[in-house]
Amino acid sequence: MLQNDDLVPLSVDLPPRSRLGRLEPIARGTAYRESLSSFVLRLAHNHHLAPHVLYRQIIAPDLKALRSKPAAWDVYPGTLSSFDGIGVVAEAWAQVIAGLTGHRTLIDLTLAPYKEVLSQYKLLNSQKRWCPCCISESVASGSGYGQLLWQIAAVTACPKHGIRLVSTCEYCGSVGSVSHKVRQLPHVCPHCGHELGGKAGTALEPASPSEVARAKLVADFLQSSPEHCGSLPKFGDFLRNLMAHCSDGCLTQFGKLVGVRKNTLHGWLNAHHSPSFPEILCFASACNTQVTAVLSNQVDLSNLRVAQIRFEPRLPIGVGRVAFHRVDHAALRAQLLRLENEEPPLSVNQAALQAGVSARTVRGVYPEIARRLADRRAKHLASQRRSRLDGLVNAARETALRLAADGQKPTRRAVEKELLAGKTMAWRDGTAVLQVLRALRENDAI
Amino acid sequence: MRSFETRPDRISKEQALLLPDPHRLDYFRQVRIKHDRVATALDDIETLVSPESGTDIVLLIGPTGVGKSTLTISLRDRLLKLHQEDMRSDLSFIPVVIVEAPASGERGFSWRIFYVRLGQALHEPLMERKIEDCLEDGRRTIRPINAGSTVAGLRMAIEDALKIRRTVLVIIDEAVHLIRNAKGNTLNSHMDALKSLANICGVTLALVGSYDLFKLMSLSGQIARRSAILHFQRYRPGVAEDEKAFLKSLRSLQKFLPLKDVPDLSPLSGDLMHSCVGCVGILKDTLTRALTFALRNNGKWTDSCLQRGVLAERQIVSILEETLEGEKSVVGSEFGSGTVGWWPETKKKAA
Repeated sequence: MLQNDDLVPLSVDLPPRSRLGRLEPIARGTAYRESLSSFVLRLAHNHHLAPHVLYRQIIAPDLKALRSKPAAWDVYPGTLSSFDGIGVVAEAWAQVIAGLTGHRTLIDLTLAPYKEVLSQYKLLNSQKRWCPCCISESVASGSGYGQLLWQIAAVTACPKHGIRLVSTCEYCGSVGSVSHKVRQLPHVCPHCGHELGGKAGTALEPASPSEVARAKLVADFLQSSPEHCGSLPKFGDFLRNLMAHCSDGCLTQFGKLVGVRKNTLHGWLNAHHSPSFPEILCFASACNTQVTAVLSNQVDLSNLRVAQIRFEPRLPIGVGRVAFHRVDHAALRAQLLRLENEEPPLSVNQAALQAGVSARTVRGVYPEIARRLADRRAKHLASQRRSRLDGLVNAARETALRLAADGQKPTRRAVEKELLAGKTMAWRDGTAVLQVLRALRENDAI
Repeated sequence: MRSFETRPDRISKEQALLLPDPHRLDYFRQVRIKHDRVATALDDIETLVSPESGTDIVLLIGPTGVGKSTLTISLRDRLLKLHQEDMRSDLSFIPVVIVEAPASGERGFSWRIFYVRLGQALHEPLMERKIEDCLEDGRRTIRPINAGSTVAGLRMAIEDALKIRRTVLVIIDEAVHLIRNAKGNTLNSHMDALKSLANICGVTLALVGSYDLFKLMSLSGQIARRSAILHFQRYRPGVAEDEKAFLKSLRSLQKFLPLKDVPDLSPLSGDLMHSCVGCVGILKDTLTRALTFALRNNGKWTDSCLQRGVLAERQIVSILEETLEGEKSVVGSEFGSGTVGWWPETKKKAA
């Protein structure tokens, strides 16, 4: 730069500005910190953009630039939790969002820093869950947000308030599935728009002591630094010590005690694969210690009596497992034909349940019966829908005419308020009501 | 296509002489000289736009061609330099933006275009896809957008953008477009919108334009209380100090003319002062036009280059009339002209 006293100094060279504003994550560094999915929703809200627009126009091009070939997750993630976890997706999203907002890193808003010790299996929720009290508190302090803690499948209670996490909206009853329908804010129901903090005065279900204890274990784990949270080899050493303490080193006995198969234990002992997070929690609560102590082999077993150790049942793998048994096909066929004529018509699943077999058996062995059951059921549901809609349309027409007669403007909102007394109308019903109102206006009835 | 460095603070005049013709013009256009009025105005405006001054709206007015827009660029650069450490650590921080008020050809002022331009200056993405959400009966809803963003949606997005970018100053150039064709309550509405933007987002607005902007001060006492006028004056012929300063400016500009063998223009300072109405901006434009003619003449400066670069007599008269009228109207209203004890009652008691 040339010094020249005659010149007004020209502009300094500065690094280019970030594309998005620098939003600060909430409760960063604590166990109750915001998750990356909640951060993205708040970021979209701050920029007055729908989340899917923010994704498609701004985030996706940068995500695609990170990888040399398109991957399955380059499309908008069907489940927002997929970028709060430990995989490549979470790391890529954290990197891209940090670059767009000027943050140095946002990886601590995901579970990726703990990927050395955590397994993806049963780590994250498939359903959105939240604590209404935490949401009310966060809204009162300025901004509602979703906690990373709630994304973890093993957490079913709030460690701060001791209540069960909820997954249905109190106003509209919709289930908070983690999907692209979450289009607004993390503390707002995506279906009806009400705040998820719930209605004032509503009693909340208290959690059991074991649920709260488990949630506190997870909270303490999230509070720990990833560098000092342990490693798989150290967990293997802990298991070896525990095995020596409980069963004199006998793998078979130890497997029966903890309810885990021998080859799984063998994999854990030799750090070939990591246990699921619920399983790690089982060990921590059984030994009455912290998760990091278990993963770092810092548990003092000398004062631990074997009789005191209780391994809680592992979280259920899934529902619908049917015990193997021989089927009397003649009786089954007769029963299915009888169930075909039931009123109201049964679905294939319902018929299979009543017959004591799986729906897969019915569809595979008796496809024509299954088809007839399904057709009959579909016709029944369609006629139910039609009659319900007809009833709604008539009620809406009468309500609109009454409102107009009373001098009020018969808008869709006003009609909805009259018909549902504060509840929210499904969007399909809302469309039908709009058509009724339009027809009435065209006929100059209102 | 080869690119050339043309910034006057990066290359010397000798290097500029070696540039191709279009780049020589570019080099001269980027010259911003220091002169007395600029130094004073920069200090005053920097005082007024600081958050501690309590001023929401600053009106920077002056004759056309005096250098108001150039002054705002210098102000922006000064503020950027002041905040450079903060800007390096926080890449989202934008302390100052300059936006031009649009004259779209419509009857009224187009707030839509204004907000879009302001959004672009704030690096706000996707201005055409903004949604407005609101809270109704405890429910958060999004107003459906059929085609593009609504003005309300743009406004909400701009408010949030100013807060999230921590902007302290918004400079609106050609602000006189706000008041064109604005009658009755429309002007009040425009000022209310600006005042509300300043209040909600905690920014100071600097409106830059001609003397017509002065009528904004008479709209209401509230506006007058939270506003200040900075009068960027010209150099007046007949005032010795101003003539000396103008001569100094001429000599400074001449130093940067990327031509060989340019005669000393100092003897022509008096005539140039009259034909430029004492405005350094008009002087620079005159010299730029003269430079263009000289470059077309194989880089040779002749007397006719300057002759052809000077404004026509009718143009000078029109500018001068407008300037004299404007100067008369702002007497006693500009920043720094207030005195304690001017009120007649106070004078009587003092006597």
